[in-house]
Amino acid sequence: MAMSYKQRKLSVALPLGLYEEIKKAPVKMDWTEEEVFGWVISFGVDVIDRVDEIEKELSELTIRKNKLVSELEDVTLDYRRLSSRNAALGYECFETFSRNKTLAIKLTGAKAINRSFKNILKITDDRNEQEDRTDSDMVEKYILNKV
Amino acid sequence: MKRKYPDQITFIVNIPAGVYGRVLNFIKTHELEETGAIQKIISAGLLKLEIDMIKEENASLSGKIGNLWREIKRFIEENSRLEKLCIESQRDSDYIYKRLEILNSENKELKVLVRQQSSADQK
Repeated sequence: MAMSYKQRKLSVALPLGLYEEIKKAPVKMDWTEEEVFGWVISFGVDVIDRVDEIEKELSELTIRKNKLVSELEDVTLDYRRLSSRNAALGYECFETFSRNKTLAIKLTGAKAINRSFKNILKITDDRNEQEDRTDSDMVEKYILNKV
Repeated sequence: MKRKYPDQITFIVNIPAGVYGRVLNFIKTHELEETGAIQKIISAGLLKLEIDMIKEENASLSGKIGNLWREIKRFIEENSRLEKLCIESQRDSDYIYKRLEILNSENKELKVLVRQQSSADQK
């Protein structure tokens, strides 16, 4: 806080309790003790004629703060719940995807063996086009990662 | 800083000349005893300080709540997307598993036939 303008020295006598209360303020607001005393007196002169109004405002602000604290607790709980769910879903998807990759590789192998056996046996492969297309989609999706 | 009485502390504070003048004016107009008047002014000032601090705390709390809401919204959207992806992957998994069962079973039968043909060819 800059106080470069003309200053006057004011002698202040305070009960210890009030003094201690003021001393707490600099820690909270990052001011020096001298600055806080200066500001407290400046603020005090500004509002001394409307203390009732100020007390009412303080009470309303305290109620608002309590509501905000409670809301923050609720929102934090929701956030944590959704964050855990997100991690679980991510893991589940990864696991299923990995399993599907293995299964798709096995499917490719099984189809190749099937074709090979049918060639040996000279069996005409009565292929189901829809099934073939779906099998190819699975291979592209899980082995070639094209989808 | 000195202690005149054990429960009281006296010290000198530098304040702007304008504020000093207003303090003196307050004492004069309200016809109050100086020490009591300054204590009243300080108590009122503390109230104002407290109000400013609570306003800052409330602004900070509102900011934190706002940020969490944004993250919550993002998680809701992402979780919905992941749920769909998981369902789709599980459906694919079931399909491939079923296809593999059919092919493996068919291959088992074909393997027997190939062996039989191979033995017949050798004879």
